[in-house]
Amino acid sequence: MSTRWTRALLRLYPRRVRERYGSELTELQDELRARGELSRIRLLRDVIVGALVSRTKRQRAAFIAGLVGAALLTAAALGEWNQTTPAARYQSVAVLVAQATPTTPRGSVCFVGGTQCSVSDCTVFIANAATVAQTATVATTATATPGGATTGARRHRPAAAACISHARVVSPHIVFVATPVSRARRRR
Amino acid sequence: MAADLSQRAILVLTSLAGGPKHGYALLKDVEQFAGVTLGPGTLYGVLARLEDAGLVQALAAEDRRHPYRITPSGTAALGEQLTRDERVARVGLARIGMQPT
Repeated sequence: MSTRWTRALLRLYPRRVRERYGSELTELQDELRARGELSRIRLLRDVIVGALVSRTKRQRAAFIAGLVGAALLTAAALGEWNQTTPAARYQSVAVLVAQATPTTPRGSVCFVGGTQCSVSDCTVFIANAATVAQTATVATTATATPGGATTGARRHRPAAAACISHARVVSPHIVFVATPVSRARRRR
Repeated sequence: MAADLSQRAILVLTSLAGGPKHGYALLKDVEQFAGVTLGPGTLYGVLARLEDAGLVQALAAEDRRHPYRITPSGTAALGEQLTRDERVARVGLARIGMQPT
């Protein structure tokens, strides 16, 4: 946090306090920050407490109302931003159609069961040695790039492929469906 | 203000009762004798209220920092407050079966 930040936080104080103590206060904040004695969270909390303490009881009510209003506006703005901007992360789902062979070592398969890789589930799967359509969620996420969901899915391919190669699956058929994590969370 | 000092105001006045100090020295002194870590924002908020009430006074700046000192009114207000607190502490400690140290 820079001096610019501490000066911005200074605006939470009444004008008379800013004018009278502002330079001393920011200098002390910066000194404590430089010494590693004041974390960002503590600085913010301290400024809010200080801004409250420096006001009379009547002024405090107005200040708190202003803070709550600003928090609500910020939350509303962030919510709007989240809906209008592309998701930052995607979750890929790999649909696997695989045939296990009797030669596949027991316990070596690392997918199956509709969830993340599970060695115990794979042991049962290999024992059956049948052609089975399995759905495995590859629990990896990647930073989205311009281009949307398809690009996100491509980025997951290496991680999913690593899982499958370890599984020693025969004839895998993989379909990637990339779902923005933020949208998936909203649906729940 | 003199009628009822806040806990933070008592800490700041008690520190200044030991002699004039600037912000950083005040924070460290309070931390040492009370085990309370005041932040700079809180400290200057308290100083603003105390100076408005005439209980502390800024001295001439030294190296861009103002030392603060307790005024006679501040000393009187602190004395009254601590006496009240001591009385309450004695009664409270006695009632819970603990002798005041």
